Amino acid sequence: MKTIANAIGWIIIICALFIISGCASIKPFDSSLPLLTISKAEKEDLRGFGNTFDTNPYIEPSSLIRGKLNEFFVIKLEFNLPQNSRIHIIAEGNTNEGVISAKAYDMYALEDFWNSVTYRESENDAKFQLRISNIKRSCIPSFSFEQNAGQSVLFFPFIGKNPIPRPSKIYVQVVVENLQSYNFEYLLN
Amino acid sequence: MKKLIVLLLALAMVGAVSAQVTTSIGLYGEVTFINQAGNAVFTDYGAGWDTLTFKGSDKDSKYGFSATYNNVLDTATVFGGVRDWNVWAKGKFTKVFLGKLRNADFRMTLPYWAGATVFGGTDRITGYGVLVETLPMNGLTFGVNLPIGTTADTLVNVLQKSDVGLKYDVKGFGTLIALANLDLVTPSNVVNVGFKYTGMKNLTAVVIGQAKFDANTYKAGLGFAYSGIDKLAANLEAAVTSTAGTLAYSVWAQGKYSVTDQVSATVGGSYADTGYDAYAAVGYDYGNGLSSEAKVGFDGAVYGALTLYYGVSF
Repeated sequence: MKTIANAIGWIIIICALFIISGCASIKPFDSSLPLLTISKAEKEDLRGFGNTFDTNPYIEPSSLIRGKLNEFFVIKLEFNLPQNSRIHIIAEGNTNEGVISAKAYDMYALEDFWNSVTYRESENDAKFQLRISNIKRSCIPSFSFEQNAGQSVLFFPFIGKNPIPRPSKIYVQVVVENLQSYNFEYLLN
Repeated sequence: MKKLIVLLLALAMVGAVSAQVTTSIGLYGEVTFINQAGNAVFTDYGAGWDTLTFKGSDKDSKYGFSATYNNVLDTATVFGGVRDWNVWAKGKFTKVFLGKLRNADFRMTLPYWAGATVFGGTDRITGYGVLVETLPMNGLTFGVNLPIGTTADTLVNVLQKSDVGLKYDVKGFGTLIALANLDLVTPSNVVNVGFKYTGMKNLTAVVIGQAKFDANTYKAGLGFAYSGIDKLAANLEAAVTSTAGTLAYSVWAQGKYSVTDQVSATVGGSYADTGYDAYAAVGYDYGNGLSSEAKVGFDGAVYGALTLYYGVSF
């Protein structure tokens, strides 16, 4: 019994160390950098989540027979905030005719998406678990949320049928409440 | 068998031609050429693993359905039976499921595998019923399931057997879940709790607990998954259970190093009240769900195994 108590004690200490080190890793605000940078996420930005869709929620799923049914376009938001700020996001993916060609997904919508295309007992699958954890730690929680001060990076995908109709315009507007508004446009050709 | 395969493929193609309905067949199992006793054996995982799933929803994901057959390759029953099914609809504030449920929205498992230790996951909501969930609001989700079964029962009894779930996402920190599987009738009440920490890049930490007060059974588990070291995936999971005062425990740890995209080297071990095991393995991933592993270990005696795993979704 004493051995178990000791083991649990050590595990709690290790857990606390991880949490403390995690909290300490947030970079502070840097006045030389812009408050927000919006860009198209490149492969290098997303590599840390894994090389395949098994663990990486920003890589399109594909199956043996049906292939790739969806196309993703992932947005990267790099925050550098002097104070905790309310963030509002407008995100649209439209064809030239104004028809919706891709929809933006927040954390919950992205979780739902992966649940809808995953058939194995998902919560018993280590890779699926890691994919969900990666969503939790990296995707915007909603299209209006409170973001902490300092430097941080969040992502969100536009998801459309494969391929997303061309030409389509990806438009993102991010308002950092009481500070500034930023726009991003990308033409998919 | 050929007819069955043709049927399975035809069903899969239903999903291919319809934008809204998807069909999937997943087959899982392993072929062991040499097991610990020096024998060869083919093991299809069957129930719960070999599945045929139909899922569909409208284009705005406002309503849909899901049905899963399991043990699809059981030659005695063919398609086994419907393991679970539900139809669902999403409103402005709530989502409603009804059917033969197998819902894990308020479930939490240790990061690697629920079966690695003596307690690796909290309960799901299962069985016939109607589950109403609020949509996440400031990270908070609340759910109530009324287990209305196929055998008539009084509404009072149904209410006394309801399941009540809660999930709370703390942005940038983690997720808390709680699920009370009530049964005041028998009585057989179960309370499940869990917390998953995702506040640090590359680290997932999970702590879970379960109390079956009426059965005098208590369980706790703790798990870490760390991938911060290049090409190394490290896992540590531990659990302890108490059944009427009798303790059981197990601790398991594993490090898996990806030598290349295909080749991996794994070392691991476990220690439990029932014994211990230490092992090393070399794995090769052929892609598309096919992989093989050569493993040697010691659990009081030296053993070796050479296994081919398959896990294919169509």
